[in-house]
Amino acid sequence: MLKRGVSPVVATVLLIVIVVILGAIIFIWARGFLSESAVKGDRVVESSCNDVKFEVQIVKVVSECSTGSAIDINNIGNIPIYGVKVLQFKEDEGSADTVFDGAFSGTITVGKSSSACLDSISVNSGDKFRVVPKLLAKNEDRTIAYTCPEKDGITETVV
Amino acid sequence: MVRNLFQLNKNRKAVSLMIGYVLLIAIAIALSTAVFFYLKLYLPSNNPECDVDIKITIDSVFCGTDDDGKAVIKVNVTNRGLFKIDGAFIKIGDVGRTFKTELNPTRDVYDCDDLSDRFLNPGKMFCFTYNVDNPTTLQGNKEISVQPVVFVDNNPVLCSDAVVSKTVVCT
Repeated sequence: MLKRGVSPVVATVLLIVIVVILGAIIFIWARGFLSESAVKGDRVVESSCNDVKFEVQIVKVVSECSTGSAIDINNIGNIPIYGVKVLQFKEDEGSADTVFDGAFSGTITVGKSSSACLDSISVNSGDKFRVVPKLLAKNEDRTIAYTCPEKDGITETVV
Repeated sequence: MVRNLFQLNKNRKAVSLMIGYVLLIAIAIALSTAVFFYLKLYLPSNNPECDVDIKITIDSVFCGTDDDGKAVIKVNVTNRGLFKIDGAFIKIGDVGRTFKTELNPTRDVYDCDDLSDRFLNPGKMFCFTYNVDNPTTLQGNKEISVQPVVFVDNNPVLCSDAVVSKTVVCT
């Protein structure tokens, strides 16, 4: 009859500690699914990537470029584009290599267009490229150039 | 012995029931606030968008030299949609090229007949003549594109689906 158990206070403290530990475990586990978040404005930069709208063209012959080819970007959306990452599809090898990864002469603000030379490659008709936008974002206190996921890019075939 | 222990246990002091509740509620509120602000970063925001009934047309473009011998580009744009337009990006470039040079950095549009307005009402026409600094770059076939801009909550919003373009021969 006089069996003793833990006091209500100890029980409550134990419950809270267990809940906090479980919460911490779930938080750390779930954080693995959410990539390290850089922020643009008041939300994660991935969300802004969905809203980027741009036109792209890879031009074979441009007089201003040493190898002749260039990439044109026309920003028709409401998100400034810092730069692009260009992947070239290699059908025979079944791979895609990065042939350009960088910024233009300046951030392509909304409504503006810009062009950059593709000096490292030779471009031929029928070549297929995937152009992925890069956005400026804040990661902790640093400003970084965030490359959007490939799904937010545009596939361009040279004519 | 057992009785002594029991009495000792009875005399133990702990936090009052009220403080216990306050602590629990405070912890719950603090945790939910933290989770809210953390997850808010991942919520898609309601970005302002252009109405689908915003439409413009390029009525006419002239690219050449005017009566004074200056190289100019004259553009007439009409608002054919159901809403007013607060601005437009007007650009010119080579036919078939995505890269285009901006003609109007201020993005202003206004009614030709009422210059006091800084917007273009439905059915009204905007007409403007742009001076060309380097006429040699504007020779042959060129393409002019116009993209309307509207202000939503005082923020400019580009109408990505309402871009129009027209080919012009520059002489």
